Amino acid sequence: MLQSIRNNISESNMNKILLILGGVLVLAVLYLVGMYNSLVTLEQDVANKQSQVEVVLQRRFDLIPNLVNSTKGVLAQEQKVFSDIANARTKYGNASAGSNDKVNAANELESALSRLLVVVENYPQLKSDQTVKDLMTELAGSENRIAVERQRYNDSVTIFNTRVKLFPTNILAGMLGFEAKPLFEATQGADSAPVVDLEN
Amino acid sequence: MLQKVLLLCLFLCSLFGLYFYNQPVFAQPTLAFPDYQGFVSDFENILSDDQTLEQQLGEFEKESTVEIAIVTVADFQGTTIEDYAVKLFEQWKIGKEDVDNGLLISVSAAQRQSKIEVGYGLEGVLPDALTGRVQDEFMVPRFIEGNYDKGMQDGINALIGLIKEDPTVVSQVNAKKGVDDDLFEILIFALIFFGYVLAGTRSWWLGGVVGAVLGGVYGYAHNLFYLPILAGLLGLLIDYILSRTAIGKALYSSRGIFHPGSGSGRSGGGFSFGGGSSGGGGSSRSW
Repeated sequence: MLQSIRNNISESNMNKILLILGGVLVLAVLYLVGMYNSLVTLEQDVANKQSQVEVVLQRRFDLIPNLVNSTKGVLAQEQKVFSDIANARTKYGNASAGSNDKVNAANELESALSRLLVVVENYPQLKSDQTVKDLMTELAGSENRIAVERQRYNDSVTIFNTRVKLFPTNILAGMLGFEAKPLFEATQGADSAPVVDLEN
Repeated sequence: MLQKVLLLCLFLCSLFGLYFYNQPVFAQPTLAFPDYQGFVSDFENILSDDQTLEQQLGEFEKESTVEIAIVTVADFQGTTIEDYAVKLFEQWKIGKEDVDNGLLISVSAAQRQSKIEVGYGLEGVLPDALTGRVQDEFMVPRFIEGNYDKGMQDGINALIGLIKEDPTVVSQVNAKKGVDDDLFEILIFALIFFGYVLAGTRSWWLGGVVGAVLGGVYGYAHNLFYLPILAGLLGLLIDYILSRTAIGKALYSSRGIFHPGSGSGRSGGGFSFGGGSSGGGGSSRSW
């Protein structure tokens, strides 16, 4: 049986088959290399978006002392909101980058700040102050940036996670240690900038 | 028989790859954005004199490379003006790509809201507070009176004056290169060249290998990992046709008549923004 097949396949045919097999092997290797590189590229994109989120969070963090100092005098009886902000800010400053603590501290800071914005609304002399007005605009811009960069981070992570979980990439991804990454959950008010209406 | 099986395997592999990698894995809820009409896109028809603004913004772009776009819309399709502006900016790609020096002024008379969205590269010269003041002092008071032309004109003048103070926002890329067009020409040339050579060989499958290798090299560099398979199949198809049909024989016997043309079909003249991006900076106002 084998002998008859061997006889039927001439030497040149044999060479052709070997070449084709070699070609398929080359294709398979290229396929795997491409798959791996695409995972690395997507992971880098996620890392880039994550650092972008950190940048805009830091921007808000740096704005706070200015805002607190320019409103503190007038808001002498609103100590609670200032101590909340100070606590959240310290927590945020101490948490290591990318950790869950950092995310929680950022959310805490966000809610304390939005409370300050509401408080400021009740003080007409603050609202008409140009420095406070500017700082409020900066803060609103900061919140909006955070929302935008978080959305972009989530988009990037979703693409990465889908790729990591889809067959057949999931086999390779599991072997090479690519893991699905966490999304930013929309906390209350995190998806929209606090409304700062200074006209009324 | 074995060859047919292998061919079928290759084909299935490529389908497999395409199916899993070309699927839009993330369907983002998208807003339907209109195309821009120039620097000024007055969709709400509240500006009576868009030509003057258009001309002024065109001249400012020539002088500074900074791209300022104006859009007026009756509604934001159910989302906020902030969300609408940043996504429209992303879609239109306002500003030059290397410095992100774009600016988008969105106004809605019907919603009584305005927003200045600042490109990444202009965030230094136009901090949020400054864009807020421009709106407070020059734009919103006129908008309240219903004088959108005057408000827009004064706002633009103020913003241009501020931007002119900073020379770092000028793009260093003078002429956009048509990379895609060049790539296309190279591909066509390569196709003709290899077709020409392969028509001269006896093998009917060598083209597949050549395609796969070339696709592999290019795909490796650009992370298009399905490219070797596609290019391999294409090469196989072309070589097979060239080897087994009269076209190839004609091509083979007419060696020397092929001179790949140098003319490009690049179209010029149409208005387009330069590929800049923004990240939610700027400020919004309502009245």
